[in-house]
Amino acid sequence: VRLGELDRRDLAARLERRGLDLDTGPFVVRIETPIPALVDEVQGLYRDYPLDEGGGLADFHVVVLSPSGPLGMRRWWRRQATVILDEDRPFEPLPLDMAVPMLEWSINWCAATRANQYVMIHAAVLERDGRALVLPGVSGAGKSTLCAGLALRGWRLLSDEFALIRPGDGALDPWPRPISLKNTSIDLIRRWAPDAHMSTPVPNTNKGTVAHLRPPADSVRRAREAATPAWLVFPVFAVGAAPSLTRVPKARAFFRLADCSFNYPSLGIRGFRALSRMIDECDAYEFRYSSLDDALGLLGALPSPTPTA
Amino acid sequence: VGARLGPDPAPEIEGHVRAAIERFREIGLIEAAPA
Repeated sequence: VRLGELDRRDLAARLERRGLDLDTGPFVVRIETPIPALVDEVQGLYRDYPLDEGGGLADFHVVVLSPSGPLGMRRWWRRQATVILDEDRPFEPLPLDMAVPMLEWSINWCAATRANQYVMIHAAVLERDGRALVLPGVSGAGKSTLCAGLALRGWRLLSDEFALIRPGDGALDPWPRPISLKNTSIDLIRRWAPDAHMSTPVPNTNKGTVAHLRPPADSVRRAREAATPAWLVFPVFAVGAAPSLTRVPKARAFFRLADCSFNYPSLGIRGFRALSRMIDECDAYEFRYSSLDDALGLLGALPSPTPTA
Repeated sequence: VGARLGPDPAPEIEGHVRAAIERFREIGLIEAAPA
């Protein structure tokens, strides 16, 4: 059963009463909320995901509540969303209209702090013909915009935020999730793919306006198909820049990659070996760009990598 | 009444959790502030 097959009433009842277990590929995520607006957004963003109805353990348990506050005042005044993650409340509550980003940030937090069976890199990952393009990115580099643009034009989305490297064989496990877009990227992607579904834009977050793009259905369906890393591309968005790809020496690429890892320092020799292997197997580039059309053309024509002997 | 209703108080979190949240905020993985 996929989430989109549930009618809204059934979905709302499951989310409120016992939580809904979503099979997202590597992780089962249990979402629990009584917030009606969040039910609609979950239905839109996660429509294509299978439900895990085995009644087993969930990897992450995220509860999003709207607390009533002192004397019940928050039912009427400055309503808030707060999250409980396995009985912890790590974050400050936020205004209720930020419930969708809160949910997504909370799932990110769970993985980044717990999924140490993987070497985790903060990177978007896309695949074509079995070969993966890894786009590590600091905030503002244009990683998510680039990722959304490519995912909507024939590349398979593995993830917008997490490169999940299997230490055993170096393959990348997919974790397709909604893609977080900010500010001008929201309209840019709307023009790029007018039929793509997005959550309601939320203004006034720390980074401005945020909206989430539903991942392509085919990427969700193939959430258990791993890919082999082939290209490591560090994107740099620069207004008006002519598109350019510059090779990055492997040693430098290693340190840039390690810098983007959530758990490299914790994994010791396992982390070192996994990153070394990825660097050996991939060609690394810095990519300056200012338009998605240029990116699509240049990244689509990347030559086959030349593995280190 | 409630005109100055700020965030609800939350239980204190541990220092390493706070540090991880701050780091993930810097790189844009999450934007929520530590409790």
